[in-house]
Amino acid sequence: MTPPRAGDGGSLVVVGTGIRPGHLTQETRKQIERADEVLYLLAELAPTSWIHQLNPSAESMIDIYGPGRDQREVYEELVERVLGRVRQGKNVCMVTYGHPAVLDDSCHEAVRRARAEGYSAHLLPAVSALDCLLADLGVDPGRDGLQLFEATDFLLHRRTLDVSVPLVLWQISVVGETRTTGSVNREGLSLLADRIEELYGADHEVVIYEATPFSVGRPTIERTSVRELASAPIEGLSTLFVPALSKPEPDPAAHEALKQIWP
Amino acid sequence: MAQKRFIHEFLNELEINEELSELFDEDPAAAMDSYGLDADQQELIRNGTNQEIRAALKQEMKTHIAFVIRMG
Repeated sequence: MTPPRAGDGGSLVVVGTGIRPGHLTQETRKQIERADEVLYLLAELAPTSWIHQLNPSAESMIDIYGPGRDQREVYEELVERVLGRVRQGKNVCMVTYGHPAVLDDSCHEAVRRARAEGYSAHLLPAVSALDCLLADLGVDPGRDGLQLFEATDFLLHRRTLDVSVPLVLWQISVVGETRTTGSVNREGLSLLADRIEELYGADHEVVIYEATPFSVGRPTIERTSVRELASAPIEGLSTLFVPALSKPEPDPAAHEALKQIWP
Repeated sequence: MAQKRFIHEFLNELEINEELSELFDEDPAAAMDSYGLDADQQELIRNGTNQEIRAALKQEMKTHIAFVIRMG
């Protein structure tokens, strides 16, 4: 890590709140409490009073997220607002939803840019939507493996899959979107469904999942077929879980080789 | 007439009011009664999906903000 610039002060720590307030880790709580300034961007309507209670300087950046804005402009503005405070010599805590290292260019870029300018900057782990999915759907990635792709990336790069391994596709509500939006892109979802059908067949069951961001209520777990996916009830924060289509093929040669080293 | 209480305020209060949070964990109905939520609101909190709760919050807060485009 680049050492802080002598005499300039200023530092950045990027933290995630998890999916709901109860997910806050102790180290994240401490960072929020100790920061000179807290700048946060949480998902939609989740409660935020607790952040202001932890640190009265807390300031929302939701004003940057106006509808119809180019996402790259939004990310740039988020990064520059945070870096602006660091450059003023403040110890800044940037707070975001979920895990700050997962699907958040602004968090990675803020850390990268702060370090490039000579400030101390780091990012802490947090509970991600994937962690909630594993718990709520009872999936163990250590048993069958797990493939993860951002949905638009999955389509654009025609990613190669192993259909014997479960698949998670993120951001299925905004396939092909380059602007902030408050609605689901059904055309993009339809293209995604076509590609999944090529790989898994129309009758394969998939799960539309959303962790609950509230301290009450239940997660959304909707099971549907690939055929019905394009018209299924998708929300802005929905994630798609595609169970494996088949069992993995055993490798007799590896089995024999391992037998030689087993006691 | 008692002032109408809102679900979004209750959720915020749950996060910052330890006493209310503990009561909610032990006896959700008593916690919601003490806060002044009506029967429909209590039913939503008891059995609602996150989509139904979100819809109610949007109505209360009269907001249609853009998604924060990431699910991380």
